[in-house]
Amino acid sequence: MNALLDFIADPHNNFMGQSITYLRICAISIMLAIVIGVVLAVAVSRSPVLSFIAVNLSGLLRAIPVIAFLVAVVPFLGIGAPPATVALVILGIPPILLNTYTGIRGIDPATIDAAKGMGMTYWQILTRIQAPLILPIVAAGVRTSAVQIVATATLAAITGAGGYGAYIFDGFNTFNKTAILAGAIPVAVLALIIEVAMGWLERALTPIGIRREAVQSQMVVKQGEVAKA
Amino acid sequence: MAKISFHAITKQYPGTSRPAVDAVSFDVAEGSTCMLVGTSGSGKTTLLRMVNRLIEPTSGEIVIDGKNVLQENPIALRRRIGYVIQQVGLFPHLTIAENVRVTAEIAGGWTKQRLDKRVDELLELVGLPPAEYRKRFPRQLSGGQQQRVGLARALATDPAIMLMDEPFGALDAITRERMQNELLRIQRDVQKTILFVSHDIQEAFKLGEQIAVLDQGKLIQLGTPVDLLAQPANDFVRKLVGGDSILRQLEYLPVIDALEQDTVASARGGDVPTFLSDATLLQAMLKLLETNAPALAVQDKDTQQQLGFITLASINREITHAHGHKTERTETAI
Amino acid sequence: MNYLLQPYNYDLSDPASIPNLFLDHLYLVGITMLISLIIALPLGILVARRPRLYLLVITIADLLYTVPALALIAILITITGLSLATAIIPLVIYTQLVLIRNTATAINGIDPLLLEVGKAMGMNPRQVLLRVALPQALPTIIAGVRIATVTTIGIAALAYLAGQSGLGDLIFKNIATTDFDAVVAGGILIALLAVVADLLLLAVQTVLNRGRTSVSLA
Repeated sequence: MNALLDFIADPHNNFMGQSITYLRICAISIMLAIVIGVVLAVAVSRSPVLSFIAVNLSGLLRAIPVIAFLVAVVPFLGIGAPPATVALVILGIPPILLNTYTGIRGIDPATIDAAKGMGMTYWQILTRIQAPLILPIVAAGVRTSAVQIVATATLAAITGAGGYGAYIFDGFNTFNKTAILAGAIPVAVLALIIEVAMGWLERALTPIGIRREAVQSQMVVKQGEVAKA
Repeated sequence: MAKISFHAITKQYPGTSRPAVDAVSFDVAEGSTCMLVGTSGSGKTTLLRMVNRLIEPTSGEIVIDGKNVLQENPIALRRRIGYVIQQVGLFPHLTIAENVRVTAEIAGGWTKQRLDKRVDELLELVGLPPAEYRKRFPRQLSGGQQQRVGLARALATDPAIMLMDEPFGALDAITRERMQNELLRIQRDVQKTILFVSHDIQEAFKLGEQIAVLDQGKLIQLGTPVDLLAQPANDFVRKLVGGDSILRQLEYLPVIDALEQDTVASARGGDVPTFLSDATLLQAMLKLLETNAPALAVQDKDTQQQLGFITLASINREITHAHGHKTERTETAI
Repeated sequence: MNYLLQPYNYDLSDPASIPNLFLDHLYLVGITMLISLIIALPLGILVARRPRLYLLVITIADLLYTVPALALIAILITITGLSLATAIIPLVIYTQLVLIRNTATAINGIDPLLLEVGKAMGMNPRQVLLRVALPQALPTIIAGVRIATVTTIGIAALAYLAGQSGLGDLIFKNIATTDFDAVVAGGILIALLAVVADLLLLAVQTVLNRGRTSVSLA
C-alpha cells in the first residue's frame, strides 16, 4: 500500500498528468458519443429505412469485440490519443443511439396526440412530454456507453493513448506490481463510480409514474449489451 | 360408461371461515351435460377441479363409474378426463397437430400412423381443415380457433368425461354462440359426460340438460332449465335464471304448461291450427299472432292425441303465475 | 491481410500458428462457459421468483461486470500470477450478469397456466419438465448463453496478459513491434469467431423458439 502511495507521489511517474490525459479522453469521448448518438437517433427515427440501417449497424458494431475494433482502426487512424478518442466515440455511439431510438419509438402516439389536442406547441411537446419520457432511457444508454468507454480507454494504451492503461502495460512489461495496481485500481474505481452515479441519475430522471417500467426497459436494453473491454 | 357422483364433497382452504365447496352431493348422468352456474366465489370451479384432482377435497367422495377417484392414481385419472379451460393453454412451441396429439402421446400406446390419423379426424371434427391448420402455431390462430384446438386436444384420447371451465368465456358474442352450436353438434356424435362451468345463464340453458346452481359453496338447486325457471328453489335462483324475465319464460316454458280445456275455441272444434306439445310458449305466441287465430289446439308430439288448447290469455296466465305450481310435464326439448 | 494469407502461419507444428491459437482460444471460451453455466444456472434458478434476492445478486453481478477487464486481470496478476485462473476468473465473472439474469427471466417466464394444463392432461412431473417447462425456458437461457459466449470470445484476447495463449497473442505480441499486419489479423480472427458463434447460437435460439415471436438479429 505504501509502495502504491509512493508510486503515485513520485513526480517521475506523473500520476496527475496521466490522470488528466485519461479523464480527458474519456470525457471528450462520452460527450461526443452522446451528441452524435442522440442527433443520429432523432435524425433516423422518422425514416423506417434509415432507422433499420442504424439499428442493425449498431447491433453489428456491438457484436465485434472491442479489442478487435481497437486494433483494426490503427492502420487507418494511427497511434496516439486522438485516434483512440475517435475509436472510443464510435464504440460509445451504439448504446446511446439504440436507447434514444427505442425511447422515441416507445412513446405512445396517443400521448403526443393528446398533447397536440390540448394545444401544445411543438416546443412544448418536446420539452414537456417527450424529453421526460425519453431522458431516463437515454441516460441508461449513456451509462452503458460511459462505463464501456472508461474500460476501453485503458485498453487504448496499447495504441499509445497514454493514461492509466500505460501504467498497466508498463507494469506488465517490467513485472512491476505497484505500477499495475496504480493503473488498475483508479480505473476500476472510476468505472464503479460512473456506474453507480449514472444509475442514480437515471432513477432521478425517471418520472415517478413510470418508474417501474423504466427500470424494466433498461433491463431490456442492457440485455443487448455485448461489447465489453 | 361414465356417471359422476358427488357425495358430500367439501373443500375448505386453510385460514378461511367457510368452505369453498360445502357438502355438495349430486349425480351427473352418463352422456349428459351438467352445467355448474353461480356467482364468482360460488365454488363452481373448485368443484370442477376436484374431479381430476387438480384440487384435493377436504372430505367427501367423487365416484366415477363406481370407483372413488381419490383412491386412483391422479395421473392415470387425468389421462382419461378431458379438460378445457377459458385461457385454452395451448403450448406455444408446438404446432396445432402436436398440440392435439400431446395428450395421446403422453398416455402412450399409440403408433405414429394412428396418431396422425386421429389428429386429422379431430381437427375435422372441430371444423379446422387439417391440411390448412396442422402445421400452424397457436399464435397464428384467432381466439375461437384456438379454443377449437383446445377442444380437439381434450378429445384426443376419447375420454368418457369432459371438464370444461368457462371454455367460451373469453370469446366475443358471435364466436361464443358459434362455438356453443359446435359443441352441441359434437356432443351429439361423441356423447361425453360433460361437466361445464359457466357464468352465462344463457349458455347454461342452451347447453345443459341439468343445471347445478351453486352459491357460497352450497348446491342450491339441481334441475333442468325448465325446473329452474318454473320452480326456482329460492330468490337467488329466480334472479340468477332470470325468472322475472318474460322473454326467457316464453323461450323455455313448454306449451303444455299453459293448456286450458274449456275455451271459446274448444267450442269451435277443429277450426284452429294445431300445435305439438314440445313447442315453447314463445313459438305458440308467435303462431297465434301470425295466424290471428283465437287459440291453438295442442297435440301430444308422439301420440297426436289432443291435449287441450292454448290462447294468448292462457299464456299470460302462465307467465304471471309461473312460480309456485307445477303441472306434470313431459321431457322438454331445448 | 498478408498475415492471414501466408501458408506458414498455418503450420500445425508451430504452437503459435493461427490454427493452434484458434484452438487455444476456443479452449479458453469453452472452459469459461462451462464453469459459468455451472455457477449461473443454479443461481439464476435460485433467485427467480425471489425479487429481493434477485436484486441483490444482480446488483453485485452488475458491479463486477462494470470493472474493466484489463483492470481486473491486472489486479488478479498481483494475486494469482500468470496462470489459467487469472485468465478464466474475469471471463467467468463477466458472464454471470447476463446468464443469471436470463436464467431468472426464463424461469419467471414459464407460464404456470401451461404447467397446470400439462398436469391436467395427465403428465407426470418429468413430462411436465421436459415437455412444458424446458421448452418455454430454454430460448431465453440460450439467448443469454449467446451474449455471454460472444462477450467471452472478445475478452479472451486479454488472456495473453495472464500468460495464456489464444488469438490475443497475435495482437499483444505484435503491437510492440508495430507489426500491424499480424495485429489486424488477430482482430479479424476474433471478430470472425465472435460473429460465427453469434450466428450459430442464433440458429439454435431460433430453432428452440419455434412457434413464438422471431428473435432479433442485433
